[in-house]
Amino acid sequence: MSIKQLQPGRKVVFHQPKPADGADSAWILAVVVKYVGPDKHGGKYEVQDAEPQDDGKPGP
Amino acid sequence: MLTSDHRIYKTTLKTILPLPDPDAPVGSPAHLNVYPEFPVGSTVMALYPDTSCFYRAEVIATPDRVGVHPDFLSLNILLKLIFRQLLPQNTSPLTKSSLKTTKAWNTRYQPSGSLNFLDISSRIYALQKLLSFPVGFGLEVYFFASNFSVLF
Repeated sequence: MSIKQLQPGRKVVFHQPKPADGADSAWILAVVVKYVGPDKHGGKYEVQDAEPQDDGKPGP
Repeated sequence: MLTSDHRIYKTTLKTILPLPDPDAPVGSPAHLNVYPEFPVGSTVMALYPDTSCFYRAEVIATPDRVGVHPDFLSLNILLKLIFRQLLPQNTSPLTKSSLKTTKAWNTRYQPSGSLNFLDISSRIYALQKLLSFPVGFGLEVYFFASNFSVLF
């Protein structure tokens, strides 16, 4: 099954960027917010962490 | 839409693996039937029950076998046998200490409460990868979701 454009609200597994302190990044549950546009990897997306931030701050 | 307390990332399909939707209609690309079943030995990613974190695992029993094997009638055994966590040398185990750097253990990684069959049917997902893991994330990936509630 090849990946087609993902619709907003679709649950995905997202590989978080590696933390600045060098710790291992994690695979987390996230939700597609929107399709941003095409790119060489098949598409750019905004995804939102399914868990709220510990410090209450929103993402970048 | 989640609240603003949920961090937003801009990313590409290199780091996304779509999950099936148990409520998706037949014919939808998110329907469970679209996802193949993985044979024993497949490398998959499994979701820690009652958490939002995945770990690398190996399939050691298929749903057919789970349905008849008496050992799988125990819920605790089931969780251990379906997916055996893989910890290759170049991958640190998902431990409390290593995960605290990205999220509080208690909110993301610590299962809460007791599990039941409904929890299993709705929360266990596994994703197979075709390319090297964890370095490469291919576009052509396959997915799998088990609805274990039909097995008992």
